Amino acid sequence: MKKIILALLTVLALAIGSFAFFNAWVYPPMGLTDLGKDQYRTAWERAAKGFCESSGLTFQGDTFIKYRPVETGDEAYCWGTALCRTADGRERLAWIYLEWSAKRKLWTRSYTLVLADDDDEAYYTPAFPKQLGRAATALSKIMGENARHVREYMGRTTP
Amino acid sequence: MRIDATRVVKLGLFLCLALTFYKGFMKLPEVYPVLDPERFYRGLINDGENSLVMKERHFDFNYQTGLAVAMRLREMRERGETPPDTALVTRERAELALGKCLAKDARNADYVLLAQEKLDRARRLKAEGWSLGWSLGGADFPRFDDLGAEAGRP
Repeated sequence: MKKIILALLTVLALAIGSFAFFNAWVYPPMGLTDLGKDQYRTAWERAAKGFCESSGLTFQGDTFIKYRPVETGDEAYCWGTALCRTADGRERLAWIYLEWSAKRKLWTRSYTLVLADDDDEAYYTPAFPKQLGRAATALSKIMGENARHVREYMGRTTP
Repeated sequence: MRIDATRVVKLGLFLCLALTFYKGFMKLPEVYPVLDPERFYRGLINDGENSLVMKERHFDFNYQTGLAVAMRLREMRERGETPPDTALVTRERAELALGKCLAKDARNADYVLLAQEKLDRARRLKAEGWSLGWSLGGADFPRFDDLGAEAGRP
């Protein structure tokens, strides 16, 4: 009995560990490793196109891109919104945000999502949805984002 | 002098304690700007710069969310769609969301100003070569009763 519990705990720890390792280390700089700090625009466009492709959207261009390096350190940030179109012709804005990793010296994807999407918290009111609905939405967002990362990783063209 | 496991662990714990003490001591506002001023001021300004970028980004995120909500409202109007109340995105809730975004814009713009002030303050402290010093309340440290008098309180 003890052995079974131990084995299950090991499997669980490995699952959580690989989930974190993939999403926090492997996925963020995927396909951006050859780009320097000044090539933020290329990095942003690659990230935006990868996001749109793995989300079933058509990338149409950016509405703005901001690049904010910091003078007293090696940190730099790049964010903007991509205009995209869904399969049935609806327009959507996607938020694409990259951070320059001062430790790894490469651009990493930080926070990427479709703004005001069907499950966005912006539509929540105090009465709707209830706590359980909110928790379910939050969990489905995390798992959906993870699945999208995997899709993007599997469909990658650059090493 | 024997070397055994207990002694090794005790020595390790003592070293960790000493390291903790040293690191904490070096972070004291009385000590840090005196012993390592270059690093101290750079840290202050770096923090201010990163905060300012963060606040600007948070403003942009909320502003763009508002634009995206407006986009969806327009889309619902143009396509003549009225989603049922069980859906999360209805016309009513989208309008509420838009109002929420507008309200948060005002607050986020304020946060950008506060972050800019924080960065300016850090730069001023560096220019002045500020350090906390060891005195308990000098000309630089207005007392609470002085502040109260300034604000017109008895």
